[in-house]
Amino acid sequence: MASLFKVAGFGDPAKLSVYRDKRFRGNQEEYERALQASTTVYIGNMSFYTTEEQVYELFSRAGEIKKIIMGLDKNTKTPCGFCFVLYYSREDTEDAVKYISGTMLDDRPIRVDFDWGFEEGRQWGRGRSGGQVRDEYRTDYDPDILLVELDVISLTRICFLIIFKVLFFGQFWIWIIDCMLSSVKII
Amino acid sequence: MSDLLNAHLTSPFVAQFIGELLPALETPSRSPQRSSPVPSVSVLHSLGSLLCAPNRSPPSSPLRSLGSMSSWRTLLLRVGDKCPEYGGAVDHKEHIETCYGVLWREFEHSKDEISECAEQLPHKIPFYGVLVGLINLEDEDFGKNIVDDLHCKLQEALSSENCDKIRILLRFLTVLMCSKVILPSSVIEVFETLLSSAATIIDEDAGNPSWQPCADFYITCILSCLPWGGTELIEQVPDEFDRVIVGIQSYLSIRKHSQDTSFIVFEADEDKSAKEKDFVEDLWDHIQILSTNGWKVDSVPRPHLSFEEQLVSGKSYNLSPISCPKQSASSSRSTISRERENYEAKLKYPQRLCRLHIFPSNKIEKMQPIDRFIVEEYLLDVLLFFNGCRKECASYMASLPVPFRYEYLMAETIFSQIMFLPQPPFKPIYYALVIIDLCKALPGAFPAVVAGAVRSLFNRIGDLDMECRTRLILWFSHHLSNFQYFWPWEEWAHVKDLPRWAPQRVFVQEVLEREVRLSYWDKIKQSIENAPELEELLPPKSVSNFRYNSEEDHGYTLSKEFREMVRGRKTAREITSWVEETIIQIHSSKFAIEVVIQTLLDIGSKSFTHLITVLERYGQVIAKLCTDQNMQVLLIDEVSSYWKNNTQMTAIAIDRMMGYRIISNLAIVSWVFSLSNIEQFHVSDRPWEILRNAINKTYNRIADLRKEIQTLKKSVLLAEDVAVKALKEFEAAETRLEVVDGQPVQAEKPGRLKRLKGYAEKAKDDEIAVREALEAKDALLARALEENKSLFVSLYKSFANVLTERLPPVSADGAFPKLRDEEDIDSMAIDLEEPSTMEMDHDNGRKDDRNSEKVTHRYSIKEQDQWCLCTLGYVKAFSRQYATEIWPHLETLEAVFGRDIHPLFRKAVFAGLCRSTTEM
Repeated sequence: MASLFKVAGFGDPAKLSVYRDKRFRGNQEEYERALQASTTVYIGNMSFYTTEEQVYELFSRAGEIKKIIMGLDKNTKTPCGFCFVLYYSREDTEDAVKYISGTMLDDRPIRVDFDWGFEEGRQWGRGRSGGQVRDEYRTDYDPDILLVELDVISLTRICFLIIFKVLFFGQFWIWIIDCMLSSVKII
Repeated sequence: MSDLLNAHLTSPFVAQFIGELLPALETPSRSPQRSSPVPSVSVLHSLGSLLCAPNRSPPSSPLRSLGSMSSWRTLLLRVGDKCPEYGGAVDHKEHIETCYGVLWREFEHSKDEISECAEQLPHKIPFYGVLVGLINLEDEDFGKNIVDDLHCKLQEALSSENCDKIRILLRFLTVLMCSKVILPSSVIEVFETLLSSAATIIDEDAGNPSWQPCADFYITCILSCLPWGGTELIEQVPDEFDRVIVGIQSYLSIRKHSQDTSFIVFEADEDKSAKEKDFVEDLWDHIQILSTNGWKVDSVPRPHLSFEEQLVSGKSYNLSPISCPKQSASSSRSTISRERENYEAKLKYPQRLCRLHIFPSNKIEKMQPIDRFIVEEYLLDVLLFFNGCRKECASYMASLPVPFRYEYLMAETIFSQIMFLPQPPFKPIYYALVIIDLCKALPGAFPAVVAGAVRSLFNRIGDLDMECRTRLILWFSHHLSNFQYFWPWEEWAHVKDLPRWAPQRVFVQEVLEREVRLSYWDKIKQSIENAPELEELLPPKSVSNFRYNSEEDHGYTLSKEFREMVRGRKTAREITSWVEETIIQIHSSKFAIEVVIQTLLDIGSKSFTHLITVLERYGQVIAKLCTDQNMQVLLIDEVSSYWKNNTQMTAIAIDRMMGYRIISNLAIVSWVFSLSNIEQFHVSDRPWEILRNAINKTYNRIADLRKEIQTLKKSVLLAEDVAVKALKEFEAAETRLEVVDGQPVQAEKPGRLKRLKGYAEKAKDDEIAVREALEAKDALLARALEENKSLFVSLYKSFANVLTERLPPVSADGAFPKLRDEEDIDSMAIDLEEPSTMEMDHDNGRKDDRNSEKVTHRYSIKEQDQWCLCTLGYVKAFSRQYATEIWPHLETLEAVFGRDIHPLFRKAVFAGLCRSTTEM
């Protein structure tokens, strides 16, 4: 879309993530070239319980999947919230980044980025504890989820929003209490 | 649903906060006309970083680095939007003045940008038109450049048959006429060129009526320009304008009514489409109404009126004549090739929108039909140009420059794209994302509209095209997964009492299946807690179905032994010989398949990757066992039995096995049409998913090969070039002589010569290598195409067999048997009096908000008839989706069908391929 929008800094679909993998051997230019031709995506902020099959179901909607590589905690060898999906075609890879990043998987807003390509060893979390680096700093990482600036929101709408919020939090507490009750029952 | 938008509510809050702040901050700098908007941008930026809380990456740094350079660009982009850049002002005149204020100093650089904005933000073309008009007053060359540029682009677009570009450039042309940059006579001239080209195309002798879609497209283009400049044309060149209108009228009287049953979303509408007006006729009607209303359109901003006094003194230019590409005359007169040509024309010049009437007419926003058309155009353009820019896409969709509400229309338009046949312009998941974003952007209005659309579609699900049903299931499950699986399922609890094959019941069951795949069983069970009846429709809790669990099971010990060998990392070869010696020779091959597949799948049952690893290591063992199709069918049977409780894993395992070429696509077709699966056709998506995957995978192979061949062809040309150059250089060096002591001697040093020779040889070798690679790929493609052909032959044969057995016979008078209820037709007839209502449905009574009491749910289609409807639906869907691949083999397939084929089967195939059914 509008190259103008890129200039002006409004959302750019081809925008590469600011994140740079330190393992990449090569200079910045090579890194960017690798990203631009890559058919691999990195998926972050997943729940530890999300399975490969769930990833398959969602990501196959962008195209035929070649492989899935779960990120594992290097100590416990259990999933630790990230994975790689390899596609066959570049077009499908782009679509996965464009259409899935910021949407929910297993009730978590996931983040999808181009990746320069999987190689052995990258499936292990690099945090000191063995998990993903990010987990050690931020438990609830919030990716670039949509931020629609509503142009004019009338006061009434604000009131509505507040009511919704109250409603939600209301339900949320009810839900928490529910959970606690049910767990009590189980015990 | 709206109360579930929790997390995202905070962002509108912040936006609102800034929205209120900005005007206050900006007022002083905004009042003088030509003030620089730099402060506003920097304010926006600093607030932007505020907005993007600490856990975000620094946003859009180009904005800052470009400083004032970007400011006029930003203003140009944002003109006409309610946005902080313009201090939230809504007056269009003020916008244009502010924008012009910064632009006029930059106009030397801004020519391309203005054109680009006009082409990519077409709903704001009127603003860009006025800006061009205003700059044209200052600098006449500017206008001339824009006009010449437009001419080049338009001609380019016409020659390359780029429909979107043609349509948008024509609108820009019309608007430039309103701003006095282009002469009205030039616009008329362009219209007349298009008109005469259209008239030629549909002329039997001079043109080629197969290309009517192209002619229709030209006429649509002319008509859709009129809301933007009809008034001006009629004022300034009334006679010429009349001539164009008369021309269009006569074109419409000659052209054939287009009746594509192939691309109709609701199958029950098939018979209606013959009587109803098609897209062009419809638009023509709207334009006629518009002309009687004095060309008043609410949805088209007319900012040039506020600047008329200034603009009128501008210099207007002539657009050099354009020419339309000549569509080749039909070379062959055979029906098939003519129809094929017509099909290709339809793909090249597709109808942009197949309107989907989802909501009853009392619900949808009241607006003039032409306004509806224009808003649809706006929405489709935003979807087209903002694909991939989520934020911009949602905010432009939600804030079009029209003075009326249009949420219902927006929902209908998006759904019409999801269900667009044969293929939507983008992957359906794109539209899912747009709907999610709109639900968040308009939390008060849009979620309810989406829910209404789902209810309406659900009520008519039995009439929906099979392909569209699948898309709807995929979309709906994905959508709900983004909103915590919240849905008032109790409304649909009644489907439990419907027969297993009732489309509504199957729909609910498949949505739940997909939800479980995206989430997990217990979670989805919890989500339907308001409708416990529906638990029956949940897929079984996914556990594998391993055959050898106790020592009594025949094969238990063999399986255990096998497992030990795998654990001991025995090679595939060792295992193959073990299987040969201990199973096949003692028992049977069939039993060997059973043991091998059950055990391998069980080892690989933990995840997708486990499965792949097992298949990569021991795929050869299976391949050796299953060399022929019958054995492969047994193999698939075994897979399906092991994963009988998990459709996803069944589909994945079969798909991977096809990927490793352990099983052929023909074996999959043959398995899908085995008796136990045929019985599932109308009650489950399971066999269809597997069939879809197999055909899709075959098609993807071909598409990849085609792409690779394209690139290789380019590299061959490149390599040839290099080789020729290297050779020339070498020869030139070799022949260069020098006279030494009266004797001609080679001038080059022998070392250099040798090197050049080496280069030339290497270049030649490279060329040969690329050529060989190309040949190899060509051979692969030929083989893949052959495979594809036999796949379709086998597919249609299988369809023909099962359908001929089960379709009701044709009655003696030759009338087609009716599969749908007669009552159904009656209720449709009643509904026809009330156009665009939704309740022409047979499965379900009316679900009116006013009338919340439960209505009796009629569903009276017999099992056999529903089976036939469903299978025929898939015949049509497959034919349509792969029509371009099927057309070349049509003659072979005709032979497969034979003459005594059942007319309903024939009709479905023909409809899918867009062939006219009149000759039947």
